[in-house]
Amino acid sequence: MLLNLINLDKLRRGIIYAFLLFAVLILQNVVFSRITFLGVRAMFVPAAVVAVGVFQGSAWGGVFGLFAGLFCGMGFHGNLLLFTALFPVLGFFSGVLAKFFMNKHFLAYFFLSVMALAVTAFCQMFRLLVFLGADPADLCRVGGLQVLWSLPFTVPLFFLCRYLASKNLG
Amino acid sequence: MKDYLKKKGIPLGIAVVLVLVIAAVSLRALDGRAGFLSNITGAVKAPVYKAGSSIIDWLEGIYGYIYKYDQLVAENESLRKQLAQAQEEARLGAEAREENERLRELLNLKEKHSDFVFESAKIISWNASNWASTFTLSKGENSGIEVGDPVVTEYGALVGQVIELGDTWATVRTVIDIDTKVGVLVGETGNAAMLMGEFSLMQEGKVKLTYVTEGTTLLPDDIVLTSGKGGKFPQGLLVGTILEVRTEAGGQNPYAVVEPACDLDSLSQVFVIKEFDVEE
Repeated sequence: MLLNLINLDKLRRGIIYAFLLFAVLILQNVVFSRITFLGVRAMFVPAAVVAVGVFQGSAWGGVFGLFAGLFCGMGFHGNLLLFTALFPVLGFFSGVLAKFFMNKHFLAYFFLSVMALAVTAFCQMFRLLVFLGADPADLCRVGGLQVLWSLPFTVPLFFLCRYLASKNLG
Repeated sequence: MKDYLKKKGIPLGIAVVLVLVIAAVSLRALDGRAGFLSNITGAVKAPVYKAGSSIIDWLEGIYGYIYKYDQLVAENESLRKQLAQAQEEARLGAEAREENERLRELLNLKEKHSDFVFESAKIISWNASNWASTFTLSKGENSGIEVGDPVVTEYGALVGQVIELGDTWATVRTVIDIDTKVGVLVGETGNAAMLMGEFSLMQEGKVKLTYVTEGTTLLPDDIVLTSGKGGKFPQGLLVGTILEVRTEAGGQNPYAVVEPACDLDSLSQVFVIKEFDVEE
């Protein structure tokens, strides 16, 4: 009887995306915190949020972004509010753009991911730029490299999320 | 599309605002102390990070064994020769070695600072961000650590300061972080100055020495020690040495680039100073 109250499709989907989030956060915070490209670390969580938004729709993208922002913010000291506010917006609008304006092809997803990664990098550097007076050229160099180093991760994320979205989980 | 945005966006917007308000209020109310959710997340992620770090170390070992075998054989041969030479020198230098041991004892940090109460802790993870330099320790409030406690190496070199605390973990901001501000004394004369993090220097693993007292001459290789003023850090902790002296852009004010005494890249264990006498 209890099972009748639960939407098993959504529950399974939720569990799968919770695992995806867990895996992405572990890779981001444990593995790729040690592997740098020209001294800069990757930041590919926004690409995962965009992928979920594109293939599962704006609501799933927003909720996935909310949890991704919350937990990612806890790992990145001092960015909790930023990520918790930013990632749901990225997930939600990725879903909206994919529904009304863009195809779900890799190039469209890649373009959205680049935008999301660039916005994230800009938001991360904003405090340093405005309040701490850091050199804009240095900030742009690090931000640019962060986006560049994160781009290879869009490939597995795209195919994984497309595969998950295509599976009949009910 | 307007209806779609209203239908889907408004509930999500409300949820995000609620979470943000709760997070903001919690951050303000907790003042460095981790919230319930952060605490649980920290408690869960600590063993996961530990396991992750162990797996990566193991994989790095395998990688090194497979791809660097020839290099290791040559290095091993070279090291054997060096070892034989070192053993010969060691026999000849037994007297010097004993003297060195005595000097080490003399410099023993605990004897030098009898007022210090240390808590040893391991680094379980480094912040994955490019915009800050922080790491997480394996011990927290349960071990008597508090927000603001200084963190040093076994040689007494300043590593950073505890800025966030959970029951079993603590976040430490390193001396090169952009938010670092430490009162210091420079050179033999011990003139006061301020150690402040700077973004470009943080990327190079260095930190800026600025707000130098008028008349102070900054010289390369000058030693930088904590001043102890304000009571946040004990007096006399080694921070680093001046690497280079520069002038602020568009001004006459000098500042120095300081190389921290601790090698942050090779740190695995640090010591939190839980108690110390404040110099007035």
